[in-house]
Amino acid sequence: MVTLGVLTSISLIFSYIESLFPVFIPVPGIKLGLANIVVLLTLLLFGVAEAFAVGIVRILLSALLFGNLISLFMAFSGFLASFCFMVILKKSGKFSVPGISVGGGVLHNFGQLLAAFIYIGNRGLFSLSLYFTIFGILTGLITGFLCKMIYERVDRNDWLSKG
Amino acid sequence: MKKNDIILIVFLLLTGALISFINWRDNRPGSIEENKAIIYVDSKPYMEIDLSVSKDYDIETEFGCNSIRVENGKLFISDADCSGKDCTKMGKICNKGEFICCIPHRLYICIEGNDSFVDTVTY
Repeated sequence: MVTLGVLTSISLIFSYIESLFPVFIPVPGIKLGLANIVVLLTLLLFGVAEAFAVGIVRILLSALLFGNLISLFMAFSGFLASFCFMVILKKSGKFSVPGISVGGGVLHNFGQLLAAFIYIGNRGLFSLSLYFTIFGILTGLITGFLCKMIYERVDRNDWLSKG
Repeated sequence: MKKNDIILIVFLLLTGALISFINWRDNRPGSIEENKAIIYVDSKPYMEIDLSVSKDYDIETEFGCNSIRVENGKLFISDADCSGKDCTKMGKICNKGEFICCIPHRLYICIEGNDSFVDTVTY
């Protein structure tokens, strides 16, 4: 429980850092998704329920601290889509950590695109899906490899899994 | 990276490309510059803008305010009263099918072509 709290605050800090430096990637609407490292790490180390809790608490807190109702709605739909897909990919056991992360990254963007479509109601938005897929794959690869590196290191110290 | 990961990436790319293509086909972006932009608010047509006149427009709705500027036949959002201002970073649009959207204000600006079924007419 303590570890989960620490993980949630780490992911909260990650999303704060990202909101401070949108210049990481000079393309509108694209973020690295550093917070997803923590969610994926929790999914690997603990399990589905724990990772879901970390993600949901992170989204609620960051919306309360830095966002509004719309950013909450967008973040939530992106998270829900990416989380479901990452769970499926992980349970299948056929994919490595970066692979799961790529799936999560792309589905996050699709979830947000769908939410934006519900909000704006114009199908032209979906012509952006290739653009979002490509960036989802790129950011998913970056965060996936970072997550893999962290996972390999913490796995050896078993203090984390005792939680 | 396993082989499965590559398959997943290719599959996702193809899916994204397919969805893009289906929607792009209905809303075909062309290289022909059009001079009519339509603003939708909450998916209802709100106003039409003539791109041949350089002018500033303020779109004030119940959802928020965006300042739209038309310059040299190109349209862009110069300012918005939201926190993210992503719409101001969406660039300038002038070709058919290009669009700018502002999610928090439910605003969607699209360049629409004239209702003609021919691409060009030569004499």
